[in-house]
Amino acid sequence: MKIRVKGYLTLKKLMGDKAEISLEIENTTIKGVLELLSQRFGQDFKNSIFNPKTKEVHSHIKVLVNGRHYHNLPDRLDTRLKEGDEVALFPPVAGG
Amino acid sequence: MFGLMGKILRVNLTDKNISEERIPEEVAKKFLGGRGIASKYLFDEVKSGIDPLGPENKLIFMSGLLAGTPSPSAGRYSVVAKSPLTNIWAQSNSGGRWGVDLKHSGFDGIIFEGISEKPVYLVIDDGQAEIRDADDLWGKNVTETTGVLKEKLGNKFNVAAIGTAGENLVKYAAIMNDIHRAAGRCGLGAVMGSKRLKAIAVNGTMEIKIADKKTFQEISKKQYELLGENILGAGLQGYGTTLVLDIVNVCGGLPTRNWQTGVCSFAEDINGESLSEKVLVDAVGCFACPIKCGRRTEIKKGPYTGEKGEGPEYETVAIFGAMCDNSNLEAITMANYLCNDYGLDTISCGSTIAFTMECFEKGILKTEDTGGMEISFGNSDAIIELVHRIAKREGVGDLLAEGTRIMAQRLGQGSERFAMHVKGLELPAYDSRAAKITGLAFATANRGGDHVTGYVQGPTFLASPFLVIEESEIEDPLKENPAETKVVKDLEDALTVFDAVGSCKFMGMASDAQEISEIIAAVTGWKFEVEDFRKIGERIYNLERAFNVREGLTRAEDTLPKRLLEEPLPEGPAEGNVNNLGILLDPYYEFRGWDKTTGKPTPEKLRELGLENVIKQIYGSKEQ
Repeated sequence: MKIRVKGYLTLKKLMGDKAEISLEIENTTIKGVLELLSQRFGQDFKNSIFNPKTKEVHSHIKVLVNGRHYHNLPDRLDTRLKEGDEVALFPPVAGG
Repeated sequence: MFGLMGKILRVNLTDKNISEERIPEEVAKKFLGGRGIASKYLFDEVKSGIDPLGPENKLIFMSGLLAGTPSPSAGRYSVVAKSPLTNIWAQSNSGGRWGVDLKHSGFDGIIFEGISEKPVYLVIDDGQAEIRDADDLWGKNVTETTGVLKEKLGNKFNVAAIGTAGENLVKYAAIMNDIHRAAGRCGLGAVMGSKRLKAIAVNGTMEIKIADKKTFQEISKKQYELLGENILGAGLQGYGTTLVLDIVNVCGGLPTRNWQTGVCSFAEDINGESLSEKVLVDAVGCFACPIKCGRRTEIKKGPYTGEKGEGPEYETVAIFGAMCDNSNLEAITMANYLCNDYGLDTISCGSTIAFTMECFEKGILKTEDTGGMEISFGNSDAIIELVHRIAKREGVGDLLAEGTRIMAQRLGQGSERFAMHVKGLELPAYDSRAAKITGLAFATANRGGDHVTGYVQGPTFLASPFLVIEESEIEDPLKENPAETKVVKDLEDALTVFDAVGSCKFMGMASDAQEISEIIAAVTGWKFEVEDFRKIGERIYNLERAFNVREGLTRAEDTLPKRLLEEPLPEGPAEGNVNNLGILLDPYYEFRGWDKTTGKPTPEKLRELGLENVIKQIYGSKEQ
């Protein structure tokens, strides 16, 4: 199935500065996508997403699936993805 | 007194009398400074029902308790008065360094009373204040006024001024300081204009005393280190507050075409990244602020090439951009420069233009009403032209200068449904249908439709927790959860203290209440604990609410525009959602200790907060 991933701001830069990435991947979760992207984009990207000590996703990283923050979804990072889902990745943001 | 200078100036513009007053220590301890002390004076001295643009209104400037100390990001001041836009309590708050320079001139604040017959400005130089003739400044805009005053008085003077929008009593005129910084909201520039007060120039070298310097330095150093490490700061410095535009849009809550949808198709043309590429020259910060979220910019293409200034920030981009369906970032930046120079609130100005565009789209306004202008969505030339006309009150600009609420009342034909204001104050750029709890914050904020009173978009749209309150998590922004209304109350109270001490609200994401209480204790020498922090915020907030109640405000006014209550979002992640405010109001009132029928703070709550004198004012003598 096809998943679209958009990285924003500093994370976009670490993802080859591409506006959108398309992934062909079967039977995966949000965490699975983050791991796949880490393999593809290397250590700097990986360290931006995962805490090198705890191996957990940094609490300040925002991951949204179809416009919903992962921590608002019942299975959080273990949420299963489906065909056509759009994943958005943000570094810490504040403003307004 | 430590922290505060302990003195205010009272300036009567009718008889030109200037007097000095001490701030009683018990008032300082109960209200801290800034918004707190200013609101206390306003409540005590301004009667209900007065004309906001008449001589009985008072315009009160008050610097924060921490302003001028090296505490990071804490150099702000508040201006408080009755608003001509909303007819209720108003506070506007600004950074830069004017609030710091006011304190160095010897005073925490200034209360302006009456109305001057001729235009004047006030000069304060190291404790000496003087009213001077401003005939030659009247008619000039902010940049020129500031320049002329600096030439006359010396470059060391710092100026807060109104432009022609304030002189022309545009209902959302701003007071500008440091040329580019705005005490923008609620039209306090019009109050200043009504008093024919053009500017306040301040200078001084008076010391701001700190009670326990050693402890203060230790905590401040820790805070600077924290901000240095904080990736939040890095993002704000890199991209400015427009950093948030994409995430709000991804959540489906970026108000577009006057809130007809929450999804903007051209967000990438106007986002933080685009701003950095197209117009950014440098990041600029307020006094003692390592974050530097301000933008020094220059327009590099199109008809405004070569124009320079500061901004835009998020609200301005979202409102002159998405709200007006305008993807031209150069035009957005130019609209911002013009608003700064004329002295206009960009939120209310841009929202009023977006409302006008929808009226034009629906045929409620026609070219014969607009002097031939096609005020259609996306017309960036019309936006620029309208900013000029609003400030000068020329042609249709005279109608727009009254703000969205009055416009809708005059135009009728169902336009009230999409007049996007609460209590007369135009809403900020977060669609509350995509994060329900933000709707409660907009509906109940003391100054009307506002996002920084409760900043609940932090834990919702931005998924950024606020350390300054005990629990700020919102489980699901698309659900109305009565228990979470306490987050709104707690944030409103905590952020009220920020305005009282002069801190930037971004610090609320990096510092907790314990740390801020320790700073206040070290500066003032008072015993000051987290409990005091919480109670003082609640006290000030309730006093402001009482001001509004005394003006006749009831529960009925704690509401949202019909569009948000009845028109579901048509697309995006929040498609189909409206604000079911009714579910949230009762529990919020309960947490607040307000009467659920009338919306008044109960006598018990007011007694608990040491506001016994307020009871008679809002209940009459029977409840004493």
